[in-house]
Amino acid sequence: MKETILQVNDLTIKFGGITAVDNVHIKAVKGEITSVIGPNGAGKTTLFNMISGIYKPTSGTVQFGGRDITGKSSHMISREGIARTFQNIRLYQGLSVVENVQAVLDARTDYNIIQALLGLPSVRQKDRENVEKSKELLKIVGLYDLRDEKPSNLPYGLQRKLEIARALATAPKLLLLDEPGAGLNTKEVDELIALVREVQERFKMSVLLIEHRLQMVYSLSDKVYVLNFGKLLAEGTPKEVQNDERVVAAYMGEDD
Amino acid sequence: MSFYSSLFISICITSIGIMSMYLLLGLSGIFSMGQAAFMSIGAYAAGLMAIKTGLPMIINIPIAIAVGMLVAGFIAIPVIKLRRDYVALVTVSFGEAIVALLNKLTNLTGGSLGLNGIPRSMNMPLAIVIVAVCLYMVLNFKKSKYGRQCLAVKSDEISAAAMGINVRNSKMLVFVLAGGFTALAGAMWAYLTTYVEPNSFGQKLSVEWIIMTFIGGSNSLSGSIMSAVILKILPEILRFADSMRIIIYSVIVLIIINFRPQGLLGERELSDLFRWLKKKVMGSHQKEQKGGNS
Repeated sequence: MKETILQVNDLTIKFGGITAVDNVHIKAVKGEITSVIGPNGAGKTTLFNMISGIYKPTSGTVQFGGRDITGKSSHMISREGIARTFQNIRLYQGLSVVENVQAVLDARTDYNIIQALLGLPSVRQKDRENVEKSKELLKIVGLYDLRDEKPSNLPYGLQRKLEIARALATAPKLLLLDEPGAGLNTKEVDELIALVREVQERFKMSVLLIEHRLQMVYSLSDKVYVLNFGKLLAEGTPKEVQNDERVVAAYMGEDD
Repeated sequence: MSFYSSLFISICITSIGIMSMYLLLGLSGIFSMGQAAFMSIGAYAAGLMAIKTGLPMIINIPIAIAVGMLVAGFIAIPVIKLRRDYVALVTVSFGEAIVALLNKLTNLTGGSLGLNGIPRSMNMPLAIVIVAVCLYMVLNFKKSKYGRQCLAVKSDEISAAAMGINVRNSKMLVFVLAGGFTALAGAMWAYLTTYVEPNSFGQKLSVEWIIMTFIGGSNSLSGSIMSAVILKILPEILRFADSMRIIIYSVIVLIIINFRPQGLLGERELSDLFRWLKKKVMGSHQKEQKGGNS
């Protein structure tokens, strides 16, 4: 019996008169890669923003690991075990590569402000441990040698990898990847596919993926949901979706 | 007290004020334009305690810090919810409100006449110790998880929250902390000058601190403090120029802002600069040796 990790029920959000996401339901199975595809403006990122607490849905529920997390604040949802990356990369530009990962671990490190101000040895010890952990994560994504750079000095593909390392630092049960292939060349996409597979198996994570590149979706996903104009158009295995006429029509547009 | 020692102590006090500006502007991107008001609060709290109760400075200064942090806690409630430009508005009006309040509460504060007769207990060794302790704490804060979280929040609030950082708590903490540091600076001022009045720490001082922070480089702690020291001494050096002094001062500030908009040190700290110089010196030394061999 497959265990459901994320269940989105009848999720709707309205911005003024526009319904950006309309009655969408999605189910992510534990340990699998689930994808959401759809043309531009279909509401994919909006859906992600609701799952990760950046937007509050107008109606509907989000259940994660059997618990209702609808409308919880962003940092609480992160602590529940959902991590995400962003379509338009959002790294901490004021921090170095290793500190980008470290700052995330910091949010889960327990020492208080008095101890920090006094610079107690225990504080330094915990900080050192976090640096080591961050370096380990950077090794996994292949950024170890660039750890002291500023993120803005990295090429696009590596910034994406840093976002993944940062998300892994939250020790997530579910990883939301928002168009990780956007702006990457074919070689970089292949590397990214390998990386997603590796971390998914290594950390026994579930992944929810938004992607434009069908190559990536079809080679990675166990299940695919198709959104169009905020509504769910189709769902099924990559093969089923590939052969669905409505999907082809929505995706390829007037081309056919 | 000699002119030089009182100048030195006032530089120490300004440095502490600048440290709080660094916490707010440099680490957290909170644009506080009324920070000097916390100096008023600290100065009046310490002054009133000294005059009304006669308790010694060692008790009154911590009380002043506590009062400053308490008030900062209240002001932080709107500040942490607002965007950068609105934060500036709130803090400006807060600064003005404090000045008005001190003028009106005649029974307690003596109104525009100010508070007189605070004992002159501040001296140079004590000021140095306090500055050193403050600097140690701010450096520790910067290096700790709190410093990194503040920088993360400053860089990108949405992704900071998405990674589990509590954005509001982190801003609240830094605002309260900065309020405490500034109140400490105010209390020290009261014990240095023995006299405080409502207009001692108005909008002009808040703006002066912002100028100092930006000239040194708002992302550099040592840079901000360095520029505070320079800009505090500069008017004294320029004393010979008499009425031209304020013009020369302004021109120097404008030149720096024009040619180094990121501040004198930018994002670097003085320690980085020394390391770079050392490398440069060592590097040229090695080159010379190589040249000698060939």
